[in-house]
Amino acid sequence: MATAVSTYAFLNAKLRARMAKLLPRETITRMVHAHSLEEALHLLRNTSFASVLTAYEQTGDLLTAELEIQRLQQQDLFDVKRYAAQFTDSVVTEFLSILLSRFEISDIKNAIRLWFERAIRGRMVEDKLPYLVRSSFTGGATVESIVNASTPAELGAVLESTPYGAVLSSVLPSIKESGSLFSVEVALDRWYFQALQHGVLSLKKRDRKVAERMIGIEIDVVNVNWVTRMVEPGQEGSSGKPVLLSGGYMLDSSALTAATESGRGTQDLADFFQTRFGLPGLSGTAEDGYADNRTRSAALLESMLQQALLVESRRALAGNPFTIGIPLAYVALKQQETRTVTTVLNGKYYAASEADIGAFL
Amino acid sequence: MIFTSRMVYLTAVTLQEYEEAVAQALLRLGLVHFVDLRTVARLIAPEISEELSDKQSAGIQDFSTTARQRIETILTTGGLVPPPVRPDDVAAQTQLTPDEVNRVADKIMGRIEDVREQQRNIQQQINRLEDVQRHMPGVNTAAARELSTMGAGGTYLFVRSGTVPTDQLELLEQKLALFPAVLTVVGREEDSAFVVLVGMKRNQSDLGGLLDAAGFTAREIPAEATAETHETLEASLAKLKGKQGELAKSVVSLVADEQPKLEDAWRSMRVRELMGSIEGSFSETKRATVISGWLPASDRAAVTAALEAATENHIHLEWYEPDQLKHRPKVSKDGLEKDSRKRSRKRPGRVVMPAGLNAPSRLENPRFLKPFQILVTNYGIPAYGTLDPTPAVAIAYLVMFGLMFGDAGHGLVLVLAGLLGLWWTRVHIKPGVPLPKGLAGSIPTLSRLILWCGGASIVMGVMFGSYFGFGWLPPLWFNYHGVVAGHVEVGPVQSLFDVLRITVYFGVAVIGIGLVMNWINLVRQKRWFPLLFDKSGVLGGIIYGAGVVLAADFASTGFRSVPQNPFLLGVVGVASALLFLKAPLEGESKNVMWWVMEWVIELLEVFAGYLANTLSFMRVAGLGIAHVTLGIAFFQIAQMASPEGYNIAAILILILGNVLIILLEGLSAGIQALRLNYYEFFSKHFQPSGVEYHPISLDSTP
Repeated sequence: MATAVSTYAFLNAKLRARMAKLLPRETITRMVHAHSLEEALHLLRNTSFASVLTAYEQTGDLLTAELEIQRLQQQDLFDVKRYAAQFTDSVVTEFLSILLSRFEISDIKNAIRLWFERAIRGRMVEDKLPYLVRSSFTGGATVESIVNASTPAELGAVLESTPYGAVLSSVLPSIKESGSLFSVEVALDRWYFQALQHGVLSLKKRDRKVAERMIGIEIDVVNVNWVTRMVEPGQEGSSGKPVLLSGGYMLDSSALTAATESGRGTQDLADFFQTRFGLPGLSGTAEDGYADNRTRSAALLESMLQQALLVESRRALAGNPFTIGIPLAYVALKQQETRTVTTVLNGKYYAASEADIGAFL
Repeated sequence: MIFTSRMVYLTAVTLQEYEEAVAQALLRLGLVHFVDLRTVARLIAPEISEELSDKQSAGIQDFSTTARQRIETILTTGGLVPPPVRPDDVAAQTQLTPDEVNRVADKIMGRIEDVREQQRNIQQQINRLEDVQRHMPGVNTAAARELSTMGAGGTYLFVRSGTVPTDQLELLEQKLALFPAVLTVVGREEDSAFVVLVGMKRNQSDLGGLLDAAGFTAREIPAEATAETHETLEASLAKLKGKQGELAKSVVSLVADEQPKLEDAWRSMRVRELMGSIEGSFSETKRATVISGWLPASDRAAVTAALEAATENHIHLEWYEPDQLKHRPKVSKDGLEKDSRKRSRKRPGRVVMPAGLNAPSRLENPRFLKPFQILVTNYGIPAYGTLDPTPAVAIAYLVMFGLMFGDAGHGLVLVLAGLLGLWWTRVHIKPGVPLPKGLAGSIPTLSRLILWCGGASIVMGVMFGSYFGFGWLPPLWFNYHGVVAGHVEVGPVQSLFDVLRITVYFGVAVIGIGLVMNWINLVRQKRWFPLLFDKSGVLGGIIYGAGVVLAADFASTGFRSVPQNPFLLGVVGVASALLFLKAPLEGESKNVMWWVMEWVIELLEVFAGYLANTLSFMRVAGLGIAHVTLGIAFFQIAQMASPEGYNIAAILILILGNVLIILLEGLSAGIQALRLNYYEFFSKHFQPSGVEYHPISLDSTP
């Protein structure tokens, strides 16, 4: 019978060794203090992001450099799947495959967004299309087939062969009328987290606890994002239940229900965090400034939840070395690293101040 | 080379107006390891310590560092390396300020950004054409299709052919530039051009509109259009990519054109940075600047001359030997040092320096010993005044490696690998440039070490008569292969036990040398108590020495009868008994039972520890035997593959086998030799409490 040691020893050892290649905080700080985008990029020269600098030097194009960042991240995390298949059991491999399908879903969302801009809103997408990660999706759909679809029905036909075809087929017909892709994004996120939660159930008890905590925080991030975008209550058929995801770690269902039904969404969530966790200064004050405070509160909430995820990741790294916590932590840290580098580079490109860039990190 | 370099401590006081000149002089010399005087002053001269304030130079240093790093970035963009800083540059450092350097950097970065903007525009054009190319299989590929069929369906391409008035052609081309589209002119008629447009179906309404606006008249797609369109597309892409490449090179040229200015700026900021570090270690009173630090005693005259010249003799220098800065003064109830007047006549006051302010240790070894010096400093910095173990480590390490990896052929491979590494270093690492991070930065040192190890292997290989496992020449010492295979019946070494005995004797020698080194260090430090009573002290050494002889006697009887040497037994007994005095003399406890317990534990540690340390050297024999055994195994496999002579398969087996042996055994031997040095040898004498000598000089790494 497989033990935790035999299941995770090699995989987690590999991932721990890879963590040494994550960018140190000092490099990020120096990038933030750099005088220009070029100087910030040069700090990546002797790191695992060296090819990003090369891409920029060859094209002068930040978007090409960002595409390279995405490619590096995906390649790195594809290696996680490969190590899992090589070193661990089928349950863990399957779980990690589901976990890493988030990148495919993200690419599909990006492709659908461009299709929407082009086919529904009638805008040119030529300047954005080259910067999509060109991968083939599960089931044979490609970026080309998605972006070049003429109608929602054609798009549905293209996506039918993917694992998400069924959930998308119910929402695609209405997007032209609604003029929004929100229902598509919600459907994809819902599919993902339900698949992930199903995968968690197949894990052993100790792993399940760790996974539920970390995935729960990610669910909280998604829910906050949805509440921020003014989720209408009762979208799920006629049941009147909120559309928000269950299984969050820090936000419970009562707080979510209150936030969605009150109409004050983020304000209520901010108050909840202030009351429950004693975090001052999150909620807005004057009614006149509500819109600004709502945006500010949402950004702070998401940022705080991202930090909570990092704290959980570090906790997993410091704890039992033979659990699913290490792979989960690695994925979280790698994504955080990619997000940080992209944020800093964009900040430098748009000549944002160091304080403004720091606020987003 | 034998001991760490002798150091002296300098305290100097001069007027503030000479501060910069003093800093420049000290930077040019690059000999002083600066210390924080305020901490020292509290001990040496408490009455003035409160008068001292730290020099505020951190801000200047930070601005200079940032500016220097910016210039380095620009130099790196142009494939250039920062220049060395010369002594003449020190005086010129005031010519450029960080603000001026930042302005230079801003200007150059602005010009680079202009080029990047052009690159971006070209890249967008390339992106559009590549979008079309992605959907057009190459003419000579299996998926090649005619344009007419591509446009009809099954692809995302929009294809039209027809005529456009000649005067509308240029305008049409300009408007098409915003789309992923290729316009090919396949023929010319009187007032019109026959064109073929290939674009994306998703843009068909826009493209159709542009064609209509240009007065387009549709015609059938000609047969040659497919090939010509491919040609046009490839030619356009090649032209754009060529331009892109030229722009990328132009950045390098731009930086190269500014190289003199950039190098001046870099030097200026580097000197400012170093001056900031030096001045940051100074302390000030209202009108004076106080300087303090350690320097090699041999350079005292040079530093004195430089300081006196820089200050026009307006400087007061005080020199201290490390001995004078070691002992704690006896302090009376009112806080004054007892017998202070008597002490001041005969000797200056003695103080205990905090650990970080002890005399720094400088290891001076010839260049060929540098790899072994690095092995020593990796473990720790030897305390000041102790023996530099580098020469001993070099000999011990190489002998151990040779015993574990004794094959002349394998050694030759290592020598070649070392030479290859040194060649790589010469090609890729320029003098004065900081080493790259990671494995690449270790290559220079590793290569030299591998070169030495290879040499040791060659020597021992000749001694054992082993050349890639073949006995081509008779051994100068003993036939290791023969001993392992059980074929040797004459000579000093006939069995594996003889080999084990050799390594044990070697271990005894290494441990013995370690003990003697420890005693020398303790005598120099005048630490008499540990000299006598420590595990590696004289008593412990006597027990060990007598024990080795007794053990040899015991072994010589085939481990059958107890040693009968009353004198040596008596020596061991007396030394063991004397160890009992350690606990009472240390004075930690007045409990006799405590003393007994301490004594018993001490004896256990001495006997067990020395036994374990000595037997640990048997691994040298173990690895040497494994090295030979692996070779024998591959020979046997080769013979099985080719019973009569050596065919291709057998040769391949032998080659691969030797490669595997070199990699596996080479790594094992290197690691085990290091382990034996660090644990068995260093534990006997090494005091890793030293502070490394780090003077601020023009050669200091940024």
